[in-house]
Amino acid sequence: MTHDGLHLHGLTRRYANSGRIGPLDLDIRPGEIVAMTGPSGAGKSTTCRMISGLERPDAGSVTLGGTNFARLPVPQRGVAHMFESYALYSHLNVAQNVAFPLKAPSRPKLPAAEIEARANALLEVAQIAHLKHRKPGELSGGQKQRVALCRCLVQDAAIYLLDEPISHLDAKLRNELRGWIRRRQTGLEVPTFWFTPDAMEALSVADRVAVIIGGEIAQFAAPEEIYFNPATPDVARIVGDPAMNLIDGRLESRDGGAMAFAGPGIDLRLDDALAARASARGPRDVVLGIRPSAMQVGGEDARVQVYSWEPFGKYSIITAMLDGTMVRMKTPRLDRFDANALLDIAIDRQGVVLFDGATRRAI
Amino acid sequence: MRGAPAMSISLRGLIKDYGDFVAVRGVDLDCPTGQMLGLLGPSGCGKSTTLKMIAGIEEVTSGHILFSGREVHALPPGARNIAMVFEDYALYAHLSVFENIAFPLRVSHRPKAEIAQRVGAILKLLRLEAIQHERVRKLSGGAQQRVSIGRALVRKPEVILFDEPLSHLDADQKVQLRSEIKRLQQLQGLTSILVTHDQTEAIAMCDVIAVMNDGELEQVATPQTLYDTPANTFVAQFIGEPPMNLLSARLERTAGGVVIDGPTWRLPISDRHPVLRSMSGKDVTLGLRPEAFWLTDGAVSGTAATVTGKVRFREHRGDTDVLLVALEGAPEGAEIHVSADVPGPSPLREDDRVCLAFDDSKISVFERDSGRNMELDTVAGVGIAA
Repeated sequence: MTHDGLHLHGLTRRYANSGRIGPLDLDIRPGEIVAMTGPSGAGKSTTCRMISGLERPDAGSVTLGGTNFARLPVPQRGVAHMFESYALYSHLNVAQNVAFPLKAPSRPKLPAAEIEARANALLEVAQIAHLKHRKPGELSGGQKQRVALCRCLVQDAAIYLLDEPISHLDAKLRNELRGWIRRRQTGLEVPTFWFTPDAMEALSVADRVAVIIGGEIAQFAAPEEIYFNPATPDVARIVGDPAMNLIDGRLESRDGGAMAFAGPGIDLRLDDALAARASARGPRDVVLGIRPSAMQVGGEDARVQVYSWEPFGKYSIITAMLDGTMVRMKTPRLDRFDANALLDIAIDRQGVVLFDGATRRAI
Repeated sequence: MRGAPAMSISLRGLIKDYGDFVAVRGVDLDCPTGQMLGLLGPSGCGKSTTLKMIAGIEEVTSGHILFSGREVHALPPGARNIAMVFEDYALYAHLSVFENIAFPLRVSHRPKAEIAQRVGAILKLLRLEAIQHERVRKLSGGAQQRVSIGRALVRKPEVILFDEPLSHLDADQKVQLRSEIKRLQQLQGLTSILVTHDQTEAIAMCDVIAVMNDGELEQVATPQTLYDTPANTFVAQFIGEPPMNLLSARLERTAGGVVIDGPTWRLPISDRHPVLRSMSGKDVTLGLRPEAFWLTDGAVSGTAATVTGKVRFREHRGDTDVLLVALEGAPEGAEIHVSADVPGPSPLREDDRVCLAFDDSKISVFERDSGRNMELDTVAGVGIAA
């Protein structure tokens, strides 16, 4: 099926306590994967459920290939929805659960051999073919998640909604399935909408990423853009491994017109490009963002006290206190850093961003 | 604030047989006093069953559990002086932070003044003072788990058992709590055991990690040793993200010595591999970490070697990009891929041709059939389970 994809126009869900999800505006092209990421409670699952028809929006619309979902009965929307809660049939075994959507009365009848072949192919990729005769009650959480994923992907859908498809798997399997799902879905001519609380998973799997915070889309952009130019401090706070460090302070003009950031325990001259943008705004309250990999041991930009140290084989993460603000540094050094030790650090200006303290937007 | 004197834990020949399936198949393991031991493995590997046996909430089929050398077989859970921190916090939702932490002390009828003093010390330690009067149901997952750790610590247990403590937390809270637990464990010298399926958590927090698979130990070692010298292909692929590349190859004797006849290249064996040099004609599996590769225009020197291929797929990981590269020279119809972790964002697109260099001393070599690391005999302290 080829069409102009999925469009959300002002999609909104209101709650009695004056809480609200939306209005959401977003599009996904056929063959494209868009990931929505944000903290738990931000509105990811609600968005997913409004698209699949499990929740009724209070305003706005969902269209797919130009057809308004509000005018289509749910079974005719062609939505394959993988639930965060798995929602497996406990009385059916793994193979029967996966084959179930292909046997729905509303769809053309398929030969039994083809149903079995399609289900088997997916179970192989998900590495659970050997469990096919087990009931969901006999599976671990990670195994159930893979059954739910297979049951979603086995369908010929007009759109795929994957609500936390790989969150409970170990790293190796997550890594394999992430790549495999991406290659498979981008080869189909339909949109895929992937929901995950893990921003790095969103960045690695999607063509574009929507960051949802407090029910609103804070940024909708390509993965590099989200990572290197987060639109707001709230986006910066959840993106990265570990996430960007944020320090409240003031933008000040110095002698000779140079711009500097002054905050607790840190006084930082900005590089030319950032200083030019900053000086156009003039002195003001700002939030300084520093990527963990831009803070290195040895230097004269600030002094921090080690809080804890985590060696990861190829790099270490040092958590440290900068005059009361907790910061994280990602360093290639693998030697031990003891709690409470003092470190002088350097800050690479390439890894620095500024946000306006009042508007909360990037400068 | 200091806890009770910590103790060590030893497992000897520990077995759990459920009748229709054996969950733990003879585990020997030691957690020294004041250290954090990780039990890491995929779902169903027996790690949680092992933890439950240590806690006394799962019966032992055979074998021994020793606390500081003393058999605890006959001791009920309540008499073992251990505390557990659970995946789902298991807090009393209607009680305040203070009362949740005070709960074990109230149950054991401690005097009011002592309760106030001990809970106060825990609140300070875990930086919970500001929210001590709030009900726990209103708190974030990370704060709830801190309360649950506080409730475990207040009893001054000799051992703390953590069962997937970070599983339900958002990524930022995971990173936060991970470093808190590590700091606490080190400053307090707590003997603790962490069960997790997440290698990042285990590496971040543990002094020693026992990698489990199918009820058995695959390797027991420090995080750095697991990363640098995995005992076998299972550990090699379970530790590190993205996982280590594994490629079929053969050791061959040539005029100049022994070479590794790789899938699409031949490499002389450097002096670092004395065992390998004596084993020509053997089928092996090469292991190469994705981060051992770097992009080059083809000219390399020293012990570096290169492979070329086409980018099939690129993943953004922020500071790095992970490239899935199909190697050139692979047999018709059988693509051989490696993943390479390169600085990001790279301008590369799918189908671009790339040349990847790697240092041949960074290769791990595993026996093909057994999957065993062939360098083990020459490397001290790798710590295979007895």
